[in-house]
Formats: sequence, C-alpha cells, structure tokens
Amino acid sequence: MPRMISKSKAKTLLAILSLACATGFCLSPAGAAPKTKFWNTTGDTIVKFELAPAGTTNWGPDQCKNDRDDSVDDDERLTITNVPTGTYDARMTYKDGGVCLAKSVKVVEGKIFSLEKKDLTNCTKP
Amino acid sequence: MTKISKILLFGLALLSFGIAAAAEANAYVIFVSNEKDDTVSVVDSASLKVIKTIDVGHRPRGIIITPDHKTIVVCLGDDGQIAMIDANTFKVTRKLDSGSDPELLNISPDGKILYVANEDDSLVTIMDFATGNTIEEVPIGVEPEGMAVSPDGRIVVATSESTSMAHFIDTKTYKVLANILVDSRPRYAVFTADGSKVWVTSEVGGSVSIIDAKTYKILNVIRFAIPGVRPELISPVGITFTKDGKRAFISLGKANRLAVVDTSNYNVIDYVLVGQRPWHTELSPDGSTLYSANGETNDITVVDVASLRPLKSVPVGRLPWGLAIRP
Repeated sequence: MPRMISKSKAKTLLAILSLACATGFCLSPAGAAPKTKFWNTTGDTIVKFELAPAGTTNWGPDQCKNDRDDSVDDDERLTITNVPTGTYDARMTYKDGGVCLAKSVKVVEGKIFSLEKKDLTNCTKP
Repeated sequence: MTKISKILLFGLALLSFGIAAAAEANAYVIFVSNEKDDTVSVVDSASLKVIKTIDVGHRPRGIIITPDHKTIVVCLGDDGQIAMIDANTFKVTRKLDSGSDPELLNISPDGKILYVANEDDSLVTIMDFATGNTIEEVPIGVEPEGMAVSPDGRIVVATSESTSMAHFIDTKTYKVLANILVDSRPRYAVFTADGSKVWVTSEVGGSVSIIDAKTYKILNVIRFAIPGVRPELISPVGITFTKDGKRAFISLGKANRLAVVDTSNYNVIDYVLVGQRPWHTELSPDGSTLYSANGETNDITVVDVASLRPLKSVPVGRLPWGLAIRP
C-alpha cells in the first residue's frame, strides 16, 4: 500500500527542496545574457500570458509556464522566452478567468516591458 | 490704538511667530521610493508638498535611513546596485554594486554593515557601508525579500518569498541558525524593540507569524477578516510598530487598508482605509503620524496614530513602495 505523506510534511519537503535548489543548483550562470521580462502592473494576477505578432492571432506558448507557480502577480516579473525583438499583441488570462488584450506591445530582447490597467482592451469577464 | 491694544497685538504676533518656529523645528522630511518612476520623492512634513524628486536609478524599492540620519540608502532592483542619497542635500553621493536585484535592505545598529536581499540570486549580501565592499554572501531560500536586524545587531532575519521561510543568520559567523517555515510568500520581517520576537508577514498566506527569536518557535499567527473584502485580497506586507510598541500597523496590500494590531494579545483593533495597495509604512519622529506608501494610487496617506484616522493623501511618483524619514 503506498505510504501517504501529510500536507504539512509535503509543504516542508517542498520548502527544503527549493532551499537546496537555491543554495546549490539554481544560481544563474555568471555572464548570462539579460532576460526579457514582463512586469505586471495591471493590478491583478495573470495565470496565462501569450504573445502574437501585432495584428495576428498566432498566439505563442503560455509564458506563465516559465514561472515557478505558473502565474505572475501584480508588481511581479515574468521571464519571457523565445520572443525576438518586435511588436506584439498580448493576451492575458487572469486568476478569476477574465481575459484582456493589449495591442502593439513593444518587446526588446533582454529588456523589461510593462503593462498597466490603462493598456488593457477587449476585456471579457469570466 | 491704545497702549493695551498695542501690547496685546505684539503678544499675539510673538505667539504666532513662536508657533511657526516650533512647527518649523518639528518639521521633518519624508523620502518615498517610486518603483516605476525610478525616483525618490522628497516630501516636506509641514507643507506635505513634494519639494524634490531625485532621479536615483532603476526600480527603487527598499529604502532606509542610516542611524546617524545622514544618508538615505535605496535598493535599485534593475541596476543591481544600492544608491546613497545625502539626507540634507538630496544628492546621490555614491552607488554600490550589491548583487542582482536588491529588493529590501537593512543596516546594523552601529551603521557599519549593510544587509541586502538579492531576489534573483537567493542570497543575502553583507556589505561594509564605508568601503562598499562585499564581506559575505549567504545563500538562503528562493527570492529573498524581508530583512530584519536585531536591536543588538547579532542576528539578521531574511525571508524568502518562494521558499516561504524566515532564515535566522548569525552576523558574526554568517551561518544560518534556523530556517522557519511560515505561510506563503513572506515579504517582510521586523524585530520587536526588545529583540525577543520577530514578526513576519506572509502576502499570499494572508497572515503575520510571530516567532520567538531565541527558540525559533512560532508563538502566534495573526489572520485578518474585513467585512466586504474578499479574503484573497488581504495580502500583508509592511509592518511598523508604534513608538511605545503597543500597536503594530500591518499594510494589507490589495485590501487597501492598514490593520492595527494590539501587540499584547495580537488582536486586530481596527482597519484604516488608505490608498490602493499599501506596501510599507513609516512613523514620524514623534510617533504621532504614520505615512503609508500606496502602490496603485501613486500617493502616500497621512494617518493620525492616536485617532487612527486617515488625514490626507499626498501625490508622489508612480508605484510608491517604501519610505524613510529624516528627523
């Protein structure tokens, strides 16, 4: 019979694992190129963040998968991967299920771009 | 005009001058880090006007004043630096490389050692204030943020947001003495004035843990409930104790309020409505007034500590985050 561990034990184990990761294996290599990052200043937690070349609906992969908890809170940063410099439309799905778009977002590789509430359009409620 | 009237008038003028002079003497300066504007706003306490905006560097957040009140020290998250501002001339005097993404910092009681939380590198960087040299880097949990120094300077407590721990570090040996698991996303830590306890806020967990500084046991966990406010919006961040230590103000983030806690029994006495998303607070030198930096309304709220009433909102830069006060 499989041995079950309690929720509190699982929480402790997770914390120990991430601590071990922090002290041994997860440090960024020296001299690594700066990462492209999205700074969420829209006021709410985003659970899915996609980019498409401006004016298209060719949505790329969910960038929230790059985050430790698959989401980016308000005033937090999200690492953006495999997106070359250019102009994009962004589609954001919020924790409550609402979806918003932001048009013509300029992304520069290695730089930080941010979106505010006023940048959001076509919001649909959950 | 009779002689008596003249004497009365002269007396009144003298009294007004005295009051004005006293107000001037009690005036102090409030420094506010504006995360999105890359600036520090300087607010005069008497007029409650911004008297200077300092271009400081990218993403200023954690901000403190040195014990001698001569220097304001600010973390510049996107520059990997900390900036020193002359607290009297408001000029940036020097910048130190502090390691990646410094978020919050603190200083030893003698003003000689800086402790910096490096969010990206999972490190606490310990620096010599005078030389700017790094003395030691202490690996802790993922995404360090809170940084408390004990009143005797012997212990530093750093919190790690992703690991959800408070890490107790010996400031002589730089060894981690204890890793204490708290509720999710601990963002701030502070010692009580007698050094016996450490209060740690958990932003996602919506709580404040009170930890015994000697035994490392969690003595109590404070939770909050505000009528009409969804529980997930209650996101505790900054903590400020009153001068007598009898009350604590907890910034509740997206709940747009400060919780007022009785430190003798950990009961919540009241909630003070401030601007949107309060991050951190700071007390006036005489302890009568509290200032709250509100990230989403781009202002600071002035709160009367005795009556717990918000008195005024003062616009500053974009995404105000932290405060420091020069007497």
